[in-house]
Amino acid sequence: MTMQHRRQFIQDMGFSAASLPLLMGLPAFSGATEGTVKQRMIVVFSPNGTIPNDFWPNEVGADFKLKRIMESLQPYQDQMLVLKGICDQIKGDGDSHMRGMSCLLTGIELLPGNIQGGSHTPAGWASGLSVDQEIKNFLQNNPKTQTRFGSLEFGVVVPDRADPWTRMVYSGSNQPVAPIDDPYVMFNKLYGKVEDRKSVESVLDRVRNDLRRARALVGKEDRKLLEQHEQFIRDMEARIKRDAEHQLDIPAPVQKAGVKNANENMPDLSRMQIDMLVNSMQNDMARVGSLQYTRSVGQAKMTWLGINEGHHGLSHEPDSDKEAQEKLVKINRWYCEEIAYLAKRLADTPEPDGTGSMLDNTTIVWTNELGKGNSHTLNDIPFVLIGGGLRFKMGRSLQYGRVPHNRLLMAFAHAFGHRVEAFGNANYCGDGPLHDLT
Amino acid sequence: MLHKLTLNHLGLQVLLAAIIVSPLWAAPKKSGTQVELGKRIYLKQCAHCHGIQGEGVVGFNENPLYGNKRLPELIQVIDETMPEDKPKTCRGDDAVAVGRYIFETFYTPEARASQKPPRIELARLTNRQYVQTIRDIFRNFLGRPELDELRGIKAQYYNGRNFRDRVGEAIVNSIDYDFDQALPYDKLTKKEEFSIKWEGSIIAEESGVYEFIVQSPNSIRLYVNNREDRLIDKYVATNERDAEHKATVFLQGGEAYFFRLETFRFKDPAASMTLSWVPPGGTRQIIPKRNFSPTLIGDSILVQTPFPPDDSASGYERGTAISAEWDEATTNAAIEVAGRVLPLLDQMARTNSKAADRTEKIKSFCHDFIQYAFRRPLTDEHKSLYVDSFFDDELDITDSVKRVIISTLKSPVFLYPELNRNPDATAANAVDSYLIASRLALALWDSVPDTALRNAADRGDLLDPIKVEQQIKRMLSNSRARSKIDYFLLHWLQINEKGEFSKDEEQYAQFNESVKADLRVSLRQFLSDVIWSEASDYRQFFHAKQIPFNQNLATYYGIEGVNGTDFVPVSLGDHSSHGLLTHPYMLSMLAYRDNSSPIHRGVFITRRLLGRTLKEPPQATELGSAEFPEGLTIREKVSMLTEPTACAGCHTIINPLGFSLENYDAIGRYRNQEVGKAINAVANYNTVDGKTFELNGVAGLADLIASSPQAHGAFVDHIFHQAMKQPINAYGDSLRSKLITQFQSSEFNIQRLLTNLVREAVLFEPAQEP
Repeated sequence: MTMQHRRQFIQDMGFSAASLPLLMGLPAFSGATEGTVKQRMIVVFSPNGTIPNDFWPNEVGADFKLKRIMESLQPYQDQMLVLKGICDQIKGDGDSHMRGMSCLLTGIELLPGNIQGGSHTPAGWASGLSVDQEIKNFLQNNPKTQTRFGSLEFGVVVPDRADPWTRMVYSGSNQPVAPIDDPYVMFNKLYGKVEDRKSVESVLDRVRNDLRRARALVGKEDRKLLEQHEQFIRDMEARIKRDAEHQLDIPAPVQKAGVKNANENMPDLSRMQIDMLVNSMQNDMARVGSLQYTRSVGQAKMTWLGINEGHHGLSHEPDSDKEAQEKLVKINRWYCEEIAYLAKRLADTPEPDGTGSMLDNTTIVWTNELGKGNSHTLNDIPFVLIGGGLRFKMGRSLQYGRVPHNRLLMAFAHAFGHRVEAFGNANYCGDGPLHDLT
Repeated sequence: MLHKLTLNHLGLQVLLAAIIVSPLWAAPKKSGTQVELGKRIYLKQCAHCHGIQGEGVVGFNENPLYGNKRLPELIQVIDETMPEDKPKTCRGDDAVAVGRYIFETFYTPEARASQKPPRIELARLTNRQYVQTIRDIFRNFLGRPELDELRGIKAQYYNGRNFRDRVGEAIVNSIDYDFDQALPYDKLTKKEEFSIKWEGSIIAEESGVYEFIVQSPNSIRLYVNNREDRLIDKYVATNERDAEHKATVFLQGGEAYFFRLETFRFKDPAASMTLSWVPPGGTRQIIPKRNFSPTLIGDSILVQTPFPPDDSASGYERGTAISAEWDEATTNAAIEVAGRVLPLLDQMARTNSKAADRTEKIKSFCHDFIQYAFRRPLTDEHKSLYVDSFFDDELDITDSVKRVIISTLKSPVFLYPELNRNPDATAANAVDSYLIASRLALALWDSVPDTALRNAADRGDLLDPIKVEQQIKRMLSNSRARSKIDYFLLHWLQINEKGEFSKDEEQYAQFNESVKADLRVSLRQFLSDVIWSEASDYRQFFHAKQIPFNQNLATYYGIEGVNGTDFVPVSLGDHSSHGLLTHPYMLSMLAYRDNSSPIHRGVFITRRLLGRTLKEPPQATELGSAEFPEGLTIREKVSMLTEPTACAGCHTIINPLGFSLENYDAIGRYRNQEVGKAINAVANYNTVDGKTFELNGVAGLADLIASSPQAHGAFVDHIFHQAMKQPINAYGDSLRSKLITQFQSSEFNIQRLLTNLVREAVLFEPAQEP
């Protein structure tokens, strides 16, 4: 995503350009929600299906072995839930990738539209909101669980397109929410103008020197104007110093500078985004988050793993192409390692109010738009849950018999106390929230 | 003469009333002795507390005797409560005398200003100058083609939905299609699938916020002034037939901006596309042909940060005052500009992320940037100080550039153009060609010098009046000069100030926002045509027989033979052949909802066209709230209302001017009767130098204004102030009369006047202050 015009972000932040907002003074930063037990959910998306044999544990129950792709999650095995048999059964317009992506969290059909995929009929956006937004709205409506943003949508190397392959979060029918994949843009959004203020502070000396020199050039009367100007600069400096003293509960992460938002920097970008995601939740800016790697049909070229082909292309190679399958395993292992990093950061970070680690109160939901890349199946969508945020019974591998994923989405909502009777297309919700989770 | 009485409170009111109605009061010039008396009393009874010049007394009464009471109130306070140490020892005509003296010498800001001789004050960039300066600095890197005369937008047609299979292009007038009815191009073969790209420039006439509205059920991507960021992105179609998508953007007037609109249809049930906008001061309309050009233009960096309004107390916008809000806005704008520049950095520095010399190229870009911003070349020492010092290994290069930009745009050398001096100058060479170039660019363009002007400065040419005049001539043909003159005309005639008006719906059905908006365009075009014609004759403002109308206006005012959205010259008839004096927009602007207003018209002409000062009325009276016998014309009502002597002082000036336009009703239509009586548009007007001018309707009025030396002077003042943003009398005692005389003997050529005044003003150096 390109660096968006400043104005848009100022608007998004809800501040006018004319004010230097004192973000540090907002209640969210001062822990106003202390006392409530936090629950958080983070949806992490990686594309193009998985390699079933190298992914799904053979065992059912608490005694299961992680296969190659998920090896890096071993330290968290007792906080994991692996769910096989969850199927995206939404039909209608759109090809499988589209429906996989845009129905994944919405559980509802796509609107008829003009975007044509590789097959099926053309489609538009999803016709309902996604479950993360449903939960966000629920939490924002309660003063005890309100946060500054409610939810934050992160991305990593997301192509600059707005189409049903590229969006999984919807705030309503026909209303996709774009993830922010530029970490500097996200930084600005989260931490306001801290960086700008540092830049401004660093140049004020120069400005004051210029003003002093200028005074010598003008007559007595005009000097008054310049003196007034100098006073404004002094006032601004004082204000900047005061603002700097107001701390975030947890200081903003120090960002690596100059990382270009491009495929080859994906490892750096991923870590920058994960660090900010954790920090933002530490500062209780949001309780719901998502992290989208590229998009459905994503073509990440993981050159740092020695792979020079794009992901999507590889995912369409037949099972018999062992070389391709190996590369796909490597790619998926890499995604899993990023999730393990996220889990580690959460596990290593104590809750600010001392009630355990952040991972105890956060559930990472790792998912995908397809069950398997080359068959485009929407059955057995990978769903791996890590962490205690949903208060499920963790440390198990489960297998369901072809259940519609709407029921899992309902279970997410119920886990937050939001007892919805259906979610998405109600036809798939008849049997209620998915059983056996708690 | 006044009675000498010992008066009580009520008596004072009677006295005041007597004063107000007495001729003594109404003719201030005869009361010199009264003011002298007041001064004697002041110095004797008041100065020991209030200071000799009313400035207060340090350590005792530090509040200066300045304020904004009206004179009668001031006199009342004096009479009843002053002097404080011996109240009621200054009464009656003594109080009046002292009050007059104080009021006219130092009490009001005007009085204080008139005490000091006018001087050229240090001024910062006005808001308009700021925005245009930034835009033009970066145009040096981004490119700036001038538009030619071609209008309309270029459409490219594709037979596939992804802009594949291009089949042709055409220049179209506007974007308003029902694709189900007909495809816009014969080589498009499939009704169900095609893409279209409209690309070129959009021309903004006025500065302000523009609202773009796209109506289409299909895919939409709209770009305005930004190739990266889409203003409207509805790539995924909504398929709602009546869907409307809106977005706003601030655009600087008199300029063209990159424009692109893309759409495609793929099996959508319905397909159509209509592109409208609401320009500032205008009404919603399908964007007409004249606002499109098929020429592509680079992105402009147009600051969107809002600034507090400039001080206009002197009647024109000046940068002679600053505030904390203004300072904060300069910070926010600097940050905004840095944010806009950084993504374009490699392009502007002509490098790329892989280049080995990228850092050098970027530093070089920074050097150039500062030289444009400070309006002169930098010495190596300054390059090091202003640029190189920000680059070190600790900082990422984009952070360095950001700091260079912010420190430059917050520097007083950037913000106060007159501080643009050669840093090694002695007193002798303090004014050099670079400073003159900077003054020229501000005077004619409200911006920074372009390449040609910079080259002239490099050659040291600009201390020579002949070379300066050559540059002025060249600069006048640039669209930036047009834009500034346009802006000047809007302010001279108070078009923005008085822009809110509406008419009685019963009497003037259909005088709606669309007619009003078109009339405004018509007026602006008329004025512009006069100035940019070869004769550039000021008298044509009052004598032109034709004004530009489009079909909408022609239909409304009953003129035949005009079709389409373009404006063409029409005659409204012999009765309405006096330029702006008979232009329906002016006449409507200066009228009541349901009738003409001789008072509004008269005041406007007195102040804006004839340049005479009018004091505030002693008491404001609304025409509507006064009671009149039945069947009076508006002229008769106004005459009745303004007859008392208190009013007559000003209204003997105002009324005849207004009455001469009585043939034009509330929407500027010609009439020769009102409430059954014949219109009387004849009146006598007394000029400043005591002559009587018989005004025989608008023809007489036109002759008066065109020939009045006071009018000429007023026009010279207005255009001078807009150009230089300093008082004309600060440029020496004789400049004003010289410019007026030249104007009069050059067939009132406005471009000639502008050339003379700018040439004289930029080269003027005041006597050195002690």
